[in-house]
Amino acid sequence: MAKLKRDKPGPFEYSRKFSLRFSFFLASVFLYAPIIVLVVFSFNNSRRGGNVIWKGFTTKYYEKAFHNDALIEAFTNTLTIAFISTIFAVILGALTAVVLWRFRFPFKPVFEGMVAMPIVIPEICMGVSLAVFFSQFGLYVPAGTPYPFNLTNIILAHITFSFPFAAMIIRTRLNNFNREMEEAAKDLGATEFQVFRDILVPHMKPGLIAGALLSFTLSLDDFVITFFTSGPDTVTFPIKVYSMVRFSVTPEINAASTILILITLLVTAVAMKFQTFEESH
Amino acid sequence: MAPTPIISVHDVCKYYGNFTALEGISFDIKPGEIFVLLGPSGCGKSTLLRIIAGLETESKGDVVIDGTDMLGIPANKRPVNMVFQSYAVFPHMSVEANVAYGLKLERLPKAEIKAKVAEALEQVHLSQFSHRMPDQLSGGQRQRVALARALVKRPQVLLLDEPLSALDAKLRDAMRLELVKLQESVGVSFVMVTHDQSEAMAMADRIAVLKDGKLRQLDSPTALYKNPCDQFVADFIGRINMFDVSSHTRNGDAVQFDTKTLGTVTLPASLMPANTRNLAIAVRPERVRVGLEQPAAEMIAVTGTLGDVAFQGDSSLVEIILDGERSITALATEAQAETLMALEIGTQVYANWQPKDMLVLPENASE
Amino acid sequence: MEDFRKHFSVFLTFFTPTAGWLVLLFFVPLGIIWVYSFGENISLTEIKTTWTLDNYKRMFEPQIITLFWRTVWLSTLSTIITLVIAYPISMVIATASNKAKPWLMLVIILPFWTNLLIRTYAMLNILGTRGRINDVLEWLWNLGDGALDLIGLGAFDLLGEHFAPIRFLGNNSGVMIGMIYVYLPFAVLPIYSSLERLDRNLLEASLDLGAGQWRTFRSVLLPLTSAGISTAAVITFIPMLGSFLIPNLLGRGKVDMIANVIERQFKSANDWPFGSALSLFLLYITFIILAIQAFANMRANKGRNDG
Repeated sequence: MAKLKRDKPGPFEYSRKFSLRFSFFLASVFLYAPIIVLVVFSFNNSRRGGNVIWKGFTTKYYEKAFHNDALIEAFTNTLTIAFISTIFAVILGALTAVVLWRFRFPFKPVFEGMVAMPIVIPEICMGVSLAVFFSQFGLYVPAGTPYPFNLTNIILAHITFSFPFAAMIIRTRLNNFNREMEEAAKDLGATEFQVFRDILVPHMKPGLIAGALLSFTLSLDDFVITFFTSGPDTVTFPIKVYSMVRFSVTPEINAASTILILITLLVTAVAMKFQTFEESH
Repeated sequence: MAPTPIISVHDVCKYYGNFTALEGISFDIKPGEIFVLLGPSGCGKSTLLRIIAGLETESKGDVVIDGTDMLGIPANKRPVNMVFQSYAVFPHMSVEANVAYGLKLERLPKAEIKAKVAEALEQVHLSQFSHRMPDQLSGGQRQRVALARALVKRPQVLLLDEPLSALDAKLRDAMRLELVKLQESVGVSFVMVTHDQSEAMAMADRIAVLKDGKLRQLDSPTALYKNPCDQFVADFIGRINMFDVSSHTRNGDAVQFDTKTLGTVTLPASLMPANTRNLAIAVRPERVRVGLEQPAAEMIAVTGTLGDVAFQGDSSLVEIILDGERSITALATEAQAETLMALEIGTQVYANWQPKDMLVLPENASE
Repeated sequence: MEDFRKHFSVFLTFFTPTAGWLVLLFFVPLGIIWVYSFGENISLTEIKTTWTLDNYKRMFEPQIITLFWRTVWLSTLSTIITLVIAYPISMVIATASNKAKPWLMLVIILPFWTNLLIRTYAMLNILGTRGRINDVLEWLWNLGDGALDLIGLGAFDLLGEHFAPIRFLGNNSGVMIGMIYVYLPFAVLPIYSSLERLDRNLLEASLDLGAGQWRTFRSVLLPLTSAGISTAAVITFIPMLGSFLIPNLLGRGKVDMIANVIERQFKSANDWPFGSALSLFLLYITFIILAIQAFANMRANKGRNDG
């Protein structure tokens, strides 16, 4: 028999089949094209936004964005909120994870469900309820409250929706903790607190960092809940962009968006790097 | 006249990039035999089975099943069925539905499917479990489902990939016997892959020994044991005492072998293999006798001290330590073992055997 | 795991902050809007809880029913399309080499890390009548028209006299494309992990028993990954149901979904009681969906254990 080319994909090597590879490719185009277009048109020398034709390369909209004080303020607010809420979210998440991992107590499934609820319910419900809650209890942050306390409401809201995510991640990490280590520490004379500080926290560390990075991106990403809990003086970056978009579409928004995309990419890259570092050790 | 082979494998090769998984494999499988592919893990035996099944494509060569070249024919159109190592029983289907699956694909009438399924389940003693789901079955029962599911298709050949490896030791022994009986009652050829030589010896009509993607020897279990073609096969099948030959010289009808352990040994030239590269001479433990007195002159003998005696039920393995690092194993009968066990460890003994019991083996017959 | 009484003080130290936070900042706010949903506006700024059911009765007004209906079918259809796209993607990732797997996964997940507003805004750039999709379509149109000219059919204007851009913004199609775009990465993860867990031998066994690729897909692959598919459906459907930004920006105010009407009650119409009632309604639907899924999972498990 003549020599035949028989290096065709096996029956279930889907990743080697052209039709499936092609659909993966199409999906990637679908996912990335809008973002790439956005980035490209941030360099478009045209007064109107990305909706019109390419008119030449310019970086002037980046300059403009950097000189837009309101935009810069919104940007600073967003980062501040993300930083502060991340710290609290990780602490609360760690406490939750330890409770769920370590203890058996009545109505535990109910408590687990309660913790998971902020993850599953539609954002708008949470946004609305928090908005009503803050106004009902007169928890307006009075105008002129010094920075960053003027952001308290938004920060509280962000902690509330991000700590359950952090708890989930930290708990996964705790699941492969060997409880004999804890017993050994106690056997050697450590108190509950010392065990927690010296044994459990170091073990949780990768989970804490992963949880922190997730909380941070969630906070950066949030629009809906912030939309309902922010006031006229506490504008975050997404809120600012939203109002700009409603007004008109300009390359300046593209430029500002590109910067935020870069920051998110950076955080993700750090997270990935850290994860692979953990895996290789 | 030899019966026409049911499967004919001709010069099959399989390459993964630069790695050669199989090279130049050829053999015929006769109708109604149990054919075993035996070899250490990574020797390519499972790949070969999967190529026959059509789950993988050979890089070169032909597989002919029942007179039809299988090139380009996918697994679902081949007249062979497989029992997977993990059994691959569909977890979302009942026992009955699992067995009926292949028949439904043939679009047989419902009544016929029902009858055939019932018969197949009867055959593997699972009739009372027909409505169970796979996760309510034991490992052994799941294997029977996989067997029934494959056999109900009336394949020309049943392929079994390490069928007994996932079972515990006791069940494994029972299943060996049952598989052989099953094969006799259904009459189709079984092609079985295993790494367990005792399993292969107990079940096979013929065994193909594979190593590093190459076929080393194809023979009946007895022939493999008595006349292994090279050192690998001899060592892989059963126990053997092997002595490296540093040089050999032919003297008419006799050949002199120089060895480190036995000194110079003279054996009849009829024992010489065709390939004489890196020879070793060897003797099976059951041929080795252990005595306290100097053996007769025509025997090949070596002096050593008595080591451990490992009781094995009807016989015992006796270790004779030669020079501190090397040792010889002998298989002693119950009565012999009792005498030896009465002796102290370290007693001087003579291990001896007849020259005709020796094997002369090249390192690799196919090189 | 140990009983909470064994180290009660330790338990309390860990439990109280979390539980307290959740109650104060999650359940109390939800409780307030629950109470509000039975209230009335008595003046511009004052709401009195009169335990009236009027706000719930208003949900049966035709325009609200239409709104619910639109929200549900837009979300359902988008979920189905998302799953149809996500499945082959997951198949590719699950069967890729171990080296390629994390990278392919990253390709799909990365957009998910990008701000929702930015992604929606990016879609706005693409979908306009003078946006990039219509650019591509116009280019294709010109190409086709030129080809027709070449073969002598130019005179018949088979493709129409001029290129007519397709409208995506301000109608259902734009909102659906936006939702699929945003939630596609969500759907891939659970389907991928169910494919990853699947024993490849099961597919091979099906093939070996005589089933073709398509039959194997239908009888073995789909049923055995149904848990992943249903999780994917739930985690895309719920956020789609509550979408605010996508219909708001891509629907241009012409394709309202529930969340848009809720927002209006709080931000412009100033009808907090009705807005609360709508929010709770959305919440109840979410719970019903989750309950159905939990129930289905329970039954699937039970079916396996009892036969």
